[in-house]
Amino acid sequence: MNILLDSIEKVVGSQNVLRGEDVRSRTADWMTKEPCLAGAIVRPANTEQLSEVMALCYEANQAVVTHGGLTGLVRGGMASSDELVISLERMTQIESIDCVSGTMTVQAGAPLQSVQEAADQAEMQFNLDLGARGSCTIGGNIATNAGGIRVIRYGMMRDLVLGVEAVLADGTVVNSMNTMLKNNAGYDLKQLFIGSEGTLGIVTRAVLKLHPQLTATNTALVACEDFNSLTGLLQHARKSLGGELCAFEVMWSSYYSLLTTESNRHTPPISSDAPYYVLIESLGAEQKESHERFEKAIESAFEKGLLIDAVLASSDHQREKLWAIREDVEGLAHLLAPRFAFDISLPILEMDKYVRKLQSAVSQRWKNAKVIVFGHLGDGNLHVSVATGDASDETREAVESLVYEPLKLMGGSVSAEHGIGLKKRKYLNLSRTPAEIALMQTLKIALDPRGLLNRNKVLPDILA
Amino acid sequence: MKLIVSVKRVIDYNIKVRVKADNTGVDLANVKMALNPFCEIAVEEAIRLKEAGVASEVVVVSIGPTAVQEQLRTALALGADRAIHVETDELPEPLNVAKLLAKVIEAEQPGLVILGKQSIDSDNNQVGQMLAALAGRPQGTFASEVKVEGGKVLVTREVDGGLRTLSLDLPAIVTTDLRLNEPRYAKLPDIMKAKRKPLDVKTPADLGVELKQHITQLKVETPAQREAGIKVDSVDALIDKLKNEAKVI
Amino acid sequence: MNILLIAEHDNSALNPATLSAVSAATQIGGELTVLVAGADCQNVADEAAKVSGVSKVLLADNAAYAKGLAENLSALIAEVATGYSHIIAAASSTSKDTMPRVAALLDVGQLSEIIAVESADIFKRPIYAGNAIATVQSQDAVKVITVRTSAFDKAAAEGGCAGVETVANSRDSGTSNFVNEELVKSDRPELTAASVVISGGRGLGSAENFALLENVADKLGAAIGASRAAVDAGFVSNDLQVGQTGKIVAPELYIAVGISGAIQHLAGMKESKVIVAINKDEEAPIFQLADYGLVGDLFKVLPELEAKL
Repeated sequence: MNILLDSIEKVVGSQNVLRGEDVRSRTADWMTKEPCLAGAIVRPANTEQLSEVMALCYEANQAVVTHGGLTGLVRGGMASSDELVISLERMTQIESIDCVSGTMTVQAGAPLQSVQEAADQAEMQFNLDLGARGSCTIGGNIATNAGGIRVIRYGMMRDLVLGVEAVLADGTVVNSMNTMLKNNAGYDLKQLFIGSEGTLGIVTRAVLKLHPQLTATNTALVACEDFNSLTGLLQHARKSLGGELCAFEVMWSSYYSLLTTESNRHTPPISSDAPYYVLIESLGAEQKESHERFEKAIESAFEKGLLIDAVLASSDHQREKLWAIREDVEGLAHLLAPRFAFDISLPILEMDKYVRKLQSAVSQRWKNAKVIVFGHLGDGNLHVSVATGDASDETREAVESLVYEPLKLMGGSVSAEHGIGLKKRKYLNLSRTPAEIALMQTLKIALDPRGLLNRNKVLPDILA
Repeated sequence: MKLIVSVKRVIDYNIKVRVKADNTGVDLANVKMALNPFCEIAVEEAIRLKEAGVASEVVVVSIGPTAVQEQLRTALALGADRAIHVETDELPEPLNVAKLLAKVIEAEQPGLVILGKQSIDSDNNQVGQMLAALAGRPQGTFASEVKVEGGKVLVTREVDGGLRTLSLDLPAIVTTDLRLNEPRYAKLPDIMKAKRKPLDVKTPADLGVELKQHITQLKVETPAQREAGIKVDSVDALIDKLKNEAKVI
Repeated sequence: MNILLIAEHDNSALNPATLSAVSAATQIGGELTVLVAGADCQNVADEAAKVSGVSKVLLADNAAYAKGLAENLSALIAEVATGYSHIIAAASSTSKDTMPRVAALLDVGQLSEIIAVESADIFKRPIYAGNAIATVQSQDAVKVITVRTSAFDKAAAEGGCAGVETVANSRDSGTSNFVNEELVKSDRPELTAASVVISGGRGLGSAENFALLENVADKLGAAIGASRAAVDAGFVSNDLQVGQTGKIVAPELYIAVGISGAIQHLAGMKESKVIVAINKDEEAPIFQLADYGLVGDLFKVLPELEAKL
């Protein structure tokens, strides 16, 4: 590897090939804080350098793992000592913004928040948003087809990307930097790189879709008495808010109480004895109009009995405090440690039954275990945490099968928005058919014949 | 005892202000407005005093165009009993506000007046003190704790380097600092009820106050941007820059 | 023009903030009189008399002014104010409490926390928490002004030889009484209030190594902060965390040591007046924000800094 690294240094400069302690002092996974074990970390400045680096790696049969902001939850960034890490941390440029077409061209290492802020400066809006916005990168968002809190209105990352540029395993640069909404000339190759978790190529640049800036946010936290009201409220909000509904985030009481009354991390805005809580947000163009519509929608929901209590944020400060409860993943991890965290999707109408069954199955097996649930209800996506008090592999497998097994029958998915990575690899077959997995493998062999990109991740071993 | 709380409608604190291209002010078109955060704390303190049985009625006052009624309704939803809107075309400067409030106080005779220490738009930090002077009453500014007992109010103030407690004869004027309390949220049933609470509209003429201009705003500019930094090559050079160029050590 | 400047002091020594206000007064021009109001504060008056640019000192030494109660002070100042065109004070918790009261007693407006003197009646002052700067003109015959001290250099504390006159006056409203005071006596200032903050990141490597930071902080009278990475790594407790989910600080001087500069961290300190970054990785994003960057090994830089400060 050292000879290869010497040649790579000639391409990127010696200060951009980190070795030894400089590698070990970085973490590879923000959940476990494990040190990065890679042989070295290479930090190219641009696509050309990366292309040369990959050509050298291809030549030397050197496997690589791509790093963005490392906020993934499926151990996609793990690298072993015989792998190189390619970090895009120097490729953070916002190259251009076109307000008429509503597009922004960026390098893949740009943090999501800097993209949001740049759009904001231009009085536009980039509508992917998630808790890790300050660290996660656009490249990582593309590689994992990130979701987040505005999917209900704007879709997932796939819906917000018009073009990508990627470097293939052998160093070939595939420029697919389409800037048009419509382009049906042959295969839409960018889709290969969106959501394939760096196994088919390394995304280096992207054309993102922007929307006009809307500033009229209205936020409420409401309590619901039962699951039927919850789904009724979702329908009511969709209808009465017109197209302005942009978040419908549900917290089961287990989550809400844990982060408020039980831990004192947040002051509960409303009492913690209801079974369900929803953070509802609308986003519109006109402050007054949008606010009146929102208030009216919440009032009529109350009159219809769809909710039993509600508070409205009267300032952005209060809005932030409401969101802080929902986005306190740090707190959740801290309070439940050790825990197993899941990101699943399933038909909305099946959710309540699913959660109840899971709760009873878990508590039957581990008496004092906790099952904590929240999620993007409108997207059919739940985040489930199970804490049994121990983190052994045996317990993990037992919990995983309790969480995943029922999904297959319901047509649910073992990964709604986090991806497969290393963590869910063996459960891919619960959500994908053998024919689908075989086609994925065909694509992998075609694009990365030597198996150098994110080795052993996402797909089952090809010869297995 | 009756309490009066004065509140101001300001740009929501989180909004990044944009200076208008013609430098006449800050662009407020279609910008989210809210209760000034310090005023929100003042409302909360008044409601807590009422809940504690110290106060019998909370009257909330705001001065400005019709739109300030939104913030008055918010204060009513939070628990104030009634509202007074003193209608003016623009937001008057502090001395005028203090004069209008002094007249309201003369009519209402409250035991305690609570205001925010400053508004986050003009950052003047003047109205409470001016009102106290005009009314000839004692003041407890920048309060982090307020206790009413035995005809006096004990106000713990945030001062440079620590806290200082004063005992004031009632009636008194108190202005709030950030750590006084954490304001509650407006609850839905209360928001609905607030729409039916009394809200009186008065004009400066009704109160017998003539608004006068004391300070003219000539120009509003964006502050100087941070200049690109430099790299220094030694600890000596760093200390030299900090001492002689930046003058911060 | 005749300027009356209200001295900031603790009855035993003149607060250096007063010297910044003197500079602002000098820029306005004219005769400068300093009023020292307090109790047993002759020393302060003597000190004020030596300040360069001061032509006269008025000493109001009376128990009523011992605690700087706004009711009493403002009555005194309004009475003394006759004949002055400007009444000016360094912005402090005492002057912010008192001066608007003075302005109202004189029926004039107040210019709060000016940062520049354009002419005798035109000034600049920050609005919207410093996100905009307003140029304002006073229409009143008497201008009541507070001065943001960080915007003006300090006048020389020595070099003047003004005479001290006594003001025999006792204004005690009797409606406000001092009860007690708790001044924070900490060697290390509170993080969000400190004028110097030195923060450590993952680059520090261990909890023990934060001692290196503390040594420098002692020299600077600085508060200690940390990045989330350092908190996550367990080097320090999370109440030291600076950033979006931690404390927001805006000191005069912020020194980031071994911090790479994630957006969340920058959000907590980017309003600092002067930012210094010390990091061995010259590609670290923190350097893009720093006014002064030093690329180097913090384990060598910190002891050297400590020794040379």
